[in-house]
Amino acid sequence: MTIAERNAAERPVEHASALGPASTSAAAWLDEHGDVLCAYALRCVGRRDVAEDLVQETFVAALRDPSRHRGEACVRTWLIAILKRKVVDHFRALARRPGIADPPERAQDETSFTDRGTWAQPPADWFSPRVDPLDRAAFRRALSGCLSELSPPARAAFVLREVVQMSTTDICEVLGVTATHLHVLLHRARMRLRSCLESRWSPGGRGAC
Amino acid sequence: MNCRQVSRLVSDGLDRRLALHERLAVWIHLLYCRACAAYRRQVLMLREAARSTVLVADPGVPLSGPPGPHEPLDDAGGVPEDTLSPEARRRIHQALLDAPPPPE
Repeated sequence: MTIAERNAAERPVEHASALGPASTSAAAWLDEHGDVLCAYALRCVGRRDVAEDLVQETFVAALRDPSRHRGEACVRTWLIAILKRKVVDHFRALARRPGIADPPERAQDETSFTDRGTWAQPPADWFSPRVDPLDRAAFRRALSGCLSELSPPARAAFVLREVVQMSTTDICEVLGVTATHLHVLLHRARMRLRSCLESRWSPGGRGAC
Repeated sequence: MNCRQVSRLVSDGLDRRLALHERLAVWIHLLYCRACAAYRRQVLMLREAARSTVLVADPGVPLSGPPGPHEPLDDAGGVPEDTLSPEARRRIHQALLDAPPPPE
Protein backbone atom coordinates (compact mmCIF):
# COMPACT_ATOMS: atom_id res chain seq x y z
CA MET A 1 0.00 0.00 0.00
CA THR A 2 1.41 3.36 -1.01
CA ILE A 3 1.35 6.33 1.29
CA ALA A 4 -1.26 8.02 -0.92
CA GLU A 5 -3.53 5.01 -0.69
CA ARG A 6 -3.07 4.73 3.02
CA ASN A 7 -3.84 8.44 3.42
CA ALA A 8 -6.92 8.02 1.30
CA ALA A 9 -8.05 5.01 3.29
CA GLU A 10 -7.85 7.02 6.47
CA ARG A 11 -10.03 9.84 5.17
CA PRO A 12 -13.54 10.26 6.52
CA VAL A 13 -16.12 8.13 4.81
CA GLU A 14 -18.25 11.01 3.56
CA HIS A 15 -15.63 11.94 0.98
CA ALA A 16 -15.32 8.42 -0.33
CA SER A 17 -18.57 8.30 -2.25
CA ALA A 18 -18.05 7.96 -5.99
CA LEU A 19 -14.41 8.93 -5.73
CA GLY A 20 -11.28 6.92 -6.19
CA PRO A 21 -8.68 6.97 -3.44
CA ALA A 22 -6.68 9.77 -5.04
CA SER A 23 -9.71 11.98 -5.67
CA THR A 24 -10.82 11.31 -2.13
CA SER A 25 -7.71 12.79 -0.61
CA ALA A 26 -7.77 15.65 -3.13
CA ALA A 27 -11.37 16.44 -2.13
CA ALA A 28 -10.33 16.42 1.51
CA TRP A 29 -7.46 18.76 0.64
CA LEU A 30 -9.95 21.06 -1.04
CA ASP A 31 -12.06 21.18 2.13
CA GLU A 32 -9.11 21.73 4.37
CA HIS A 33 -6.84 24.01 2.37
CA GLY A 34 -9.01 25.57 -0.35
CA ASP A 35 -9.61 28.84 1.48
CA VAL A 36 -5.98 29.31 2.40
CA LEU A 37 -4.86 28.69 -1.15
CA CYS A 38 -7.52 31.08 -2.40
CA ALA A 39 -6.39 33.81 -0.02
CA TYR A 40 -2.80 33.35 -1.11
CA ALA A 41 -3.68 33.36 -4.81
CA LEU A 42 -5.88 36.43 -4.36
CA ARG A 43 -3.08 38.30 -2.71
CA CYS A 44 -0.80 37.42 -5.60
CA VAL A 45 -3.03 38.08 -8.60
CA GLY A 46 -5.70 40.35 -7.13
CA ARG A 47 -8.57 39.01 -9.21
CA ARG A 48 -10.96 36.42 -7.87
CA ASP A 49 -11.58 34.65 -11.19
CA VAL A 50 -7.86 34.32 -11.89
CA ALA A 51 -7.12 33.29 -8.30
CA GLU A 52 -9.77 30.58 -8.31
CA ASP A 53 -8.50 29.24 -11.62
CA LEU A 54 -5.01 28.99 -10.16
CA VAL A 55 -6.38 27.18 -7.11
CA GLN A 56 -8.19 24.74 -9.39
CA GLU A 57 -5.02 24.10 -11.40
CA THR A 58 -3.18 23.53 -8.15
CA PHE A 59 -5.59 20.88 -6.90
CA VAL A 60 -5.70 19.13 -10.28
CA ALA A 61 -1.89 19.08 -10.37
CA ALA A 62 -1.85 17.75 -6.81
CA LEU A 63 -4.31 15.05 -7.76
CA ARG A 64 -2.20 14.00 -10.73
CA ASP A 65 0.73 13.28 -8.51
CA PRO A 66 -0.38 12.72 -4.93
CA SER A 67 2.72 10.71 -4.13
CA ARG A 68 4.89 13.78 -4.46
CA HIS A 69 3.96 15.15 -1.12
CA ARG A 70 6.01 12.44 0.51
CA GLY A 71 8.76 14.12 2.44
CA GLU A 72 7.04 17.50 2.59
CA ALA A 73 6.43 18.83 6.07
CA CYS A 74 2.71 18.96 5.52
CA VAL A 75 0.14 18.86 2.76
CA ARG A 76 -0.48 22.58 2.96
CA THR A 77 3.19 23.41 2.44
CA TRP A 78 3.21 21.12 -0.56
CA LEU A 79 0.04 22.61 -2.03
CA ILE A 80 1.37 26.13 -1.54
CA ALA A 81 4.56 25.15 -3.34
CA ILE A 82 2.48 23.98 -6.31
CA LEU A 83 0.38 27.16 -6.18
CA LYS A 84 3.53 29.30 -6.15
CA ARG A 85 4.62 27.65 -9.38
CA LYS A 86 1.21 28.39 -10.89
CA VAL A 87 1.51 32.04 -9.81
CA VAL A 88 4.96 32.27 -11.37
CA ASP A 89 3.63 30.76 -14.62
CA HIS A 90 0.77 33.24 -14.56
CA PHE A 91 3.16 36.20 -14.30
CA ARG A 92 5.50 34.68 -16.89
CA ALA A 93 2.62 34.50 -19.38
CA LEU A 94 1.45 37.98 -18.41
CA ALA A 95 4.90 39.47 -18.97
CA ARG A 96 4.99 38.05 -22.49
CA ARG A 97 1.63 39.45 -23.43
CA PRO A 98 2.03 42.37 -25.87
CA GLY A 99 1.08 45.79 -24.60
CA ILE A 100 1.80 44.97 -20.98
CA ALA A 101 5.05 46.96 -20.89
CA ASP A 102 5.46 49.23 -17.91
CA PRO A 103 4.17 52.71 -18.55
CA PRO A 104 6.76 55.42 -17.97
CA GLU A 105 5.33 56.47 -14.62
CA ARG A 106 7.52 59.47 -14.20
CA ALA A 107 4.54 61.45 -13.07
CA GLN A 108 4.17 59.43 -9.88
CA ASP A 109 7.86 59.70 -9.03
CA GLU A 110 7.72 63.42 -9.69
CA THR A 111 4.81 64.05 -7.36
CA SER A 112 6.49 62.22 -4.48
CA PHE A 113 9.46 64.56 -4.47
CA THR A 114 10.11 68.24 -4.91
CA ASP A 115 12.41 69.59 -7.58
CA ARG A 116 15.26 69.46 -5.09
CA GLY A 117 14.65 65.77 -4.45
CA THR A 118 13.13 66.15 -1.00
CA TRP A 119 9.82 64.58 -0.04
CA ALA A 120 6.80 66.54 -1.23
CA GLN A 121 4.89 64.98 1.62
CA PRO A 122 7.09 63.28 4.21
CA PRO A 123 6.16 59.64 4.93
CA ALA A 124 4.18 59.20 8.11
CA ASP A 125 5.62 57.27 10.99
CA TRP A 126 3.87 53.91 10.86
CA PHE A 127 5.72 52.56 13.81
CA SER A 128 3.23 51.51 16.39
CA PRO A 129 4.38 49.97 19.65
CA ARG A 130 1.05 48.30 20.01
CA VAL A 131 0.68 46.11 16.96
CA ASP A 132 -2.46 44.19 17.59
CA PRO A 133 -3.69 41.43 15.28
CA LEU A 134 -6.76 43.33 14.13
CA ASP A 135 -4.55 46.22 13.12
CA ARG A 136 -2.41 43.83 11.17
CA ALA A 137 -5.44 42.32 9.48
CA ALA A 138 -6.62 45.80 8.50
CA PHE A 139 -3.16 46.56 7.16
CA ARG A 140 -3.11 43.40 5.10
CA ARG A 141 -6.54 44.15 3.68
CA ALA A 142 -5.51 47.66 2.74
CA LEU A 143 -2.33 46.25 1.20
CA SER A 144 -4.35 43.87 -0.97
CA GLY A 145 -6.46 46.76 -2.21
CA CYS A 146 -3.41 48.88 -2.95
CA LEU A 147 -1.67 46.00 -4.73
CA SER A 148 -4.48 45.81 -7.23
CA GLU A 149 -3.87 49.42 -8.20
CA LEU A 150 -0.27 48.87 -9.26
CA SER A 151 0.63 48.60 -12.93
CA PRO A 152 0.80 44.91 -13.94
CA PRO A 153 4.62 44.82 -14.21
CA ALA A 154 5.15 46.58 -10.87
CA ARG A 155 2.65 44.29 -9.24
CA ALA A 156 4.27 41.20 -10.74
CA ALA A 157 7.69 42.34 -9.51
CA PHE A 158 6.47 43.10 -5.99
CA VAL A 159 4.44 39.90 -5.61
CA LEU A 160 7.19 37.64 -6.92
CA ARG A 161 9.71 39.33 -4.67
CA GLU A 162 7.77 39.84 -1.44
CA VAL A 163 4.96 37.30 -1.46
CA VAL A 164 6.43 34.40 -3.44
CA GLN A 165 9.88 35.43 -2.17
CA MET A 166 11.88 34.61 -5.26
CA SER A 167 15.45 35.73 -5.86
CA THR A 168 15.87 38.80 -8.05
CA THR A 169 17.77 36.70 -10.61
CA ASP A 170 14.83 34.34 -10.99
CA ILE A 171 12.33 37.20 -11.19
CA CYS A 172 14.35 38.82 -14.00
CA GLU A 173 14.15 35.54 -15.89
CA VAL A 174 10.40 35.18 -15.34
CA LEU A 175 9.54 38.75 -16.29
CA GLY A 176 12.19 39.07 -18.99
CA VAL A 177 13.67 42.26 -17.55
CA THR A 178 17.16 43.40 -16.58
CA ALA A 179 18.21 43.65 -12.95
CA THR A 180 18.21 47.43 -13.18
CA HIS A 181 14.69 47.47 -14.57
CA LEU A 182 13.55 45.14 -11.81
CA HIS A 183 14.96 47.48 -9.15
CA VAL A 184 13.07 50.36 -10.78
CA LEU A 185 9.85 48.30 -10.79
CA LEU A 186 10.26 47.32 -7.15
CA HIS A 187 11.04 50.85 -6.04
CA ARG A 188 8.04 52.14 -7.97
CA ALA A 189 5.80 49.46 -6.46
CA ARG A 190 6.95 50.28 -2.91
CA MET A 191 6.53 54.02 -3.45
CA ARG A 192 3.01 53.60 -4.76
CA LEU A 193 2.05 51.10 -2.09
CA ARG A 194 3.28 53.26 0.76
CA SER A 195 1.48 56.33 -0.49
CA CYS A 196 -1.68 54.30 -1.17
CA LEU A 197 -1.55 52.77 2.31
CA GLU A 198 -1.12 56.19 3.89
CA SER A 199 -4.46 57.20 2.46
CA ARG A 200 -6.22 53.96 3.41
CA TRP A 201 -4.72 52.87 6.65
CA SER A 202 -3.09 54.35 9.69
CA PRO A 203 -1.71 52.74 12.83
CA GLY A 204 -4.28 52.16 15.51
CA GLY A 205 -7.16 51.88 13.07
CA ARG A 206 -7.68 55.62 12.72
CA GLY A 207 -7.52 55.35 8.94
CA ALA A 208 -10.33 55.25 6.47
CA CYS A 209 -10.08 51.47 6.29
CA MET B 1 22.52 62.63 -1.75
CA ASN B 2 18.86 63.70 -1.70
CA CYS B 3 15.73 61.92 -0.48
CA ARG B 4 14.73 60.77 -3.94
CA GLN B 5 18.06 58.99 -4.39
CA VAL B 6 18.04 57.61 -0.87
CA SER B 7 14.54 56.21 -1.27
CA ARG B 8 15.73 54.29 -4.30
CA LEU B 9 18.78 52.93 -2.47
CA VAL B 10 16.71 51.93 0.56
CA SER B 11 14.46 49.95 -1.77
CA ASP B 12 17.44 48.48 -3.65
CA GLY B 13 18.96 47.47 -0.34
CA LEU B 14 16.12 45.00 0.13
CA ASP B 15 16.96 43.30 -3.15
CA ARG B 16 20.70 43.55 -3.65
CA ARG B 17 23.79 44.10 -1.59
CA LEU B 18 24.58 47.79 -1.68
CA ALA B 19 28.11 48.94 -2.38
CA LEU B 20 30.02 50.28 0.58
CA HIS B 21 29.74 53.90 -0.52
CA GLU B 22 25.99 53.46 -1.04
CA ARG B 23 25.51 51.99 2.40
CA LEU B 24 27.50 54.81 3.96
CA ALA B 25 25.54 57.45 2.08
CA VAL B 26 22.22 55.93 3.15
CA TRP B 27 23.34 55.51 6.74
CA ILE B 28 24.52 59.10 7.04
CA HIS B 29 21.35 60.43 5.39
CA LEU B 30 19.10 58.39 7.69
CA LEU B 31 20.88 59.85 10.72
CA TYR B 32 19.37 63.27 10.13
CA CYS B 33 16.41 62.67 7.80
CA ARG B 34 13.34 61.55 9.72
CA ALA B 35 11.24 61.32 6.56
CA CYS B 36 13.56 58.81 4.92
CA ALA B 37 13.88 56.89 8.17
CA ALA B 38 10.08 56.67 8.28
CA TYR B 39 10.07 55.59 4.64
CA ARG B 40 12.55 52.83 5.43
CA ARG B 41 10.31 51.54 8.23
CA GLN B 42 7.38 51.64 5.84
CA VAL B 43 9.03 49.48 3.19
CA LEU B 44 10.18 47.05 5.85
CA MET B 45 6.62 46.84 7.09
CA LEU B 46 5.42 46.25 3.55
CA ARG B 47 7.84 43.39 3.27
CA GLU B 48 6.80 41.93 6.59
CA ALA B 49 3.10 42.18 5.76
CA ALA B 50 3.55 40.66 2.32
CA ARG B 51 5.57 37.78 3.72
CA SER B 52 3.65 37.11 6.87
CA THR B 53 0.78 34.98 5.91
CA VAL B 54 -1.37 32.63 7.86
CA LEU B 55 -0.22 29.87 5.58
CA VAL B 56 1.88 28.36 8.29
CA ALA B 57 -1.03 28.35 10.67
CA ASP B 58 -2.65 25.10 11.60
CA PRO B 59 -5.30 23.81 9.25
CA GLY B 60 -8.69 24.96 10.39
CA VAL B 61 -7.50 28.26 11.79
CA PRO B 62 -9.52 31.04 10.17
CA LEU B 63 -7.54 33.26 7.86
CA SER B 64 -7.93 36.63 9.45
CA GLY B 65 -8.58 35.66 13.00
CA PRO B 66 -12.03 35.12 14.43
CA PRO B 67 -14.65 36.84 12.30
CA GLY B 68 -15.47 40.09 14.01
CA PRO B 69 -18.75 41.95 13.81
CA HIS B 70 -17.28 44.26 11.17
CA GLU B 71 -15.76 41.54 9.04
CA PRO B 72 -16.34 42.80 5.52
CA LEU B 73 -18.24 40.58 3.15
CA ASP B 74 -18.00 40.97 -0.57
CA ASP B 75 -21.06 41.59 -2.62
CA ALA B 76 -21.15 38.12 -4.13
CA GLY B 77 -23.60 36.85 -1.58
CA GLY B 78 -21.90 37.06 1.77
CA VAL B 79 -18.67 35.27 0.99
CA PRO B 80 -15.79 36.40 3.20
CA GLU B 81 -13.50 38.31 0.91
CA ASP B 82 -10.56 35.94 0.72
CA THR B 83 -12.13 32.49 0.78
CA LEU B 84 -13.21 30.29 -2.10
CA SER B 85 -16.68 31.06 -3.36
CA PRO B 86 -19.14 28.15 -3.18
CA GLU B 87 -19.31 28.12 -6.98
CA ALA B 88 -15.54 27.81 -7.31
CA ARG B 89 -15.50 25.11 -4.66
CA ARG B 90 -18.11 23.10 -6.58
CA ARG B 91 -16.28 23.68 -9.86
CA ILE B 92 -12.96 22.53 -8.44
CA HIS B 93 -14.60 19.53 -6.84
CA GLN B 94 -16.06 18.60 -10.22
CA ALA B 95 -12.68 19.14 -11.89
CA LEU B 96 -11.14 16.71 -9.41
CA LEU B 97 -13.82 14.15 -10.27
CA ASP B 98 -13.24 14.67 -13.99
CA ALA B 99 -9.46 14.68 -13.85
CA PRO B 100 -7.75 11.60 -15.20
CA PRO B 101 -6.50 9.29 -12.48
CA PRO B 102 -2.88 9.70 -11.50
CA PRO B 103 -0.40 7.38 -13.20
CA GLU B 104 0.37 4.40 -11.02
